[in-house]
Amino acid sequence: MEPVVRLDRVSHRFGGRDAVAAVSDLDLDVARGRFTTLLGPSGCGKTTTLRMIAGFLRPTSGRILLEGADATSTPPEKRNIGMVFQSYALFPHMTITDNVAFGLRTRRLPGDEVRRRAGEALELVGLSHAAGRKPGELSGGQQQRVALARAVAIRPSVLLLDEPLSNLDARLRVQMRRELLRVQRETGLTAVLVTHDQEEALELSDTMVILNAGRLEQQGDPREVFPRPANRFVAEFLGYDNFPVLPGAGPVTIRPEHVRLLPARAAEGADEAGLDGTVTAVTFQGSHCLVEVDTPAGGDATLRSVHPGDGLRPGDSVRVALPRRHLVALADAAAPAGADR
Amino acid sequence: MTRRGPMLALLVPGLAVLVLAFLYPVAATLLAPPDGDPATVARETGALLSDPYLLPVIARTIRVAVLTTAICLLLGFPVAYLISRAPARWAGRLLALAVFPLMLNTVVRTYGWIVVLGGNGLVGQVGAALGLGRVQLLYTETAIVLGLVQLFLPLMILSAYSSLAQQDPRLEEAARGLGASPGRAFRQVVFPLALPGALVGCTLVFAGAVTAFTTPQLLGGSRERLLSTLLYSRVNVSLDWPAASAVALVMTVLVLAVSALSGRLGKIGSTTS
Ligand SMILES: Nc1ncnc2c1ncn2[C@@H]1O[C@H](COP(=O)(O)OP(=O)(O)OP(=O)(O)O)[C@@H](O)[C@H]1O
Ligand SMILES: [Mg+2]
Repeated sequence: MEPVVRLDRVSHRFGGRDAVAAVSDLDLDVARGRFTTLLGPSGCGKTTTLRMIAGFLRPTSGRILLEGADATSTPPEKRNIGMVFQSYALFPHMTITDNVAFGLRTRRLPGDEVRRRAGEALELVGLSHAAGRKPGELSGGQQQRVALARAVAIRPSVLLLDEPLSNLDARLRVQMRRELLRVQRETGLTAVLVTHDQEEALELSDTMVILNAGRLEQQGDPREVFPRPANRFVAEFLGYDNFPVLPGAGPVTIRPEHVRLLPARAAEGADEAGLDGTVTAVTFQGSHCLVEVDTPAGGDATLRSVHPGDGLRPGDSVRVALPRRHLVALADAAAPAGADR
Repeated sequence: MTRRGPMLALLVPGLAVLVLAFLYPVAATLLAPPDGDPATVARETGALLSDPYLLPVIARTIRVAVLTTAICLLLGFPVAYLISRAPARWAGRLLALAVFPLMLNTVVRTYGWIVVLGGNGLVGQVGAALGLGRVQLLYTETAIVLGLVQLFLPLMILSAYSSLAQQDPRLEEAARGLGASPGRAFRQVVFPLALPGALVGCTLVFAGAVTAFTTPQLLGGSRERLLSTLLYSRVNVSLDWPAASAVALVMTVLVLAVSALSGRLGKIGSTTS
């Protein structure tokens, strides 16, 4: 099926003396009716990408196709795209109904259809009772839902969401996440959500796109990406904290919950790699401890293991066992961790 | 809240200065000028409002002030908008450029207009070259409005800018994303939200235009009298204090009426869509 949005080698460079590309040569297909998330650390170009899709920014090079047609220079008002901003951007001088109806009125729909569809959209987010109020009289979570209703009401060909949940407290965030997924499934809309929260991306995505410094690192179904990070950047971003150096093997990684700690001089299983190490730190995490182990034999890597923690102290010698089926081979050796630029 | 007494005490020095240095002299000149009493002022005001020579002066003053305000709004608001949306490193320089005329002495600036508008000036020469005959803009209402617009445009730009700069540019983007053309987004989102600043600008420009003296005196001369120049001649030429008080009273009422009106408009703007 034709993608709703296609980015074709899109780059954007902000003007200025030390112009670095915020997005470089990005190829991306957004599948119809699916939930796509753009995931990456702060400053990696997520918002820039979204703003180019919406038409608020022109790519410096490359093409943007919407519904198969070149829309690179189409102004935002002609793109039929629904955008939910991180700051909500509700019109403070209009009632909730007028906010939601705004995009319907610009489409010159008849008055009764405007009222009906605005009403439906508010119902979808459970805010019919707030119809006559002003945005300033609503809580953050409610404003977020109005912003969602306003974007959904126009039946956009794609719904863009820029970190819509990051201003909410942790509980509300989880609740709104479910609600977002429900609205997307009920309306069948194509959605692109930007986030730097991997948990959010894992829960919501049909396709997850990981960006680093304006470039695409890996994309796919989270069920495939999560257990198989392609390179060290993706692995680090997804919480693979261990990068042991095993004799005769290329770069590998393993999650802390899969690393077993045995008494010194104990033998690991046949299907495990073993390394001698010294405990350097034991951190209490609630249901378990995180134990850090220095492994001089493993290229001096510090390995982290999830462990009950009882009886281990810094300085203790241990044997680290790495089950081979949990070791993930990485494409690159030690690419620098691309955090904030 | 519990320490309201000491807080109120802080107001006393400011209030004292305001009352002694501003309210008292204003009340004195308006109600009981040097050689008159409230009754004379009332009689003079009645005469002013029924004098067939003076009524046109009031009408002209209102006309000039309204025109000046409207032109300043039409010219100044878009400039303020562009400055508020310019990249941050440009905004400061552009703003400085826009308010630069404020640094010039009014007399110097106004003589500039005399040179430009006079019969032998730029306007006269261009008119002659185009075969329009002798074009004389100097000592006309047009000249006064031109001079006042130049004088007060920076005030409008600054007031509108202060509102526009606070506005989240995402609001305009949101409107565009929802299908609004640039014009519609401006009319329905950008302008209504910047209305408070525009109204402050309008009030300042109107009050300034009603009370400005140098510009109408030099560019309008005695042919095109305004209330301010009339006031001056009452005080300095005819030395008629009660009559001068009557003129000042009318000017004060005009300015207060307009600022009350703009306050009302601001309230309406912020409560309805
Ligand atoms: N208006 C701008 N002018 C200049 N540089 C900009 C501008 N907006 C963004 N950038 C730069 O472009 C890069 C990408 O920014 P972008 O806002 O797309 O990041 P992001 O992934 O959305 O980050 P975050 O998670 O913090 O929102 C950053 O390095 C940023 O400094
Ligand atoms: Mg961002």
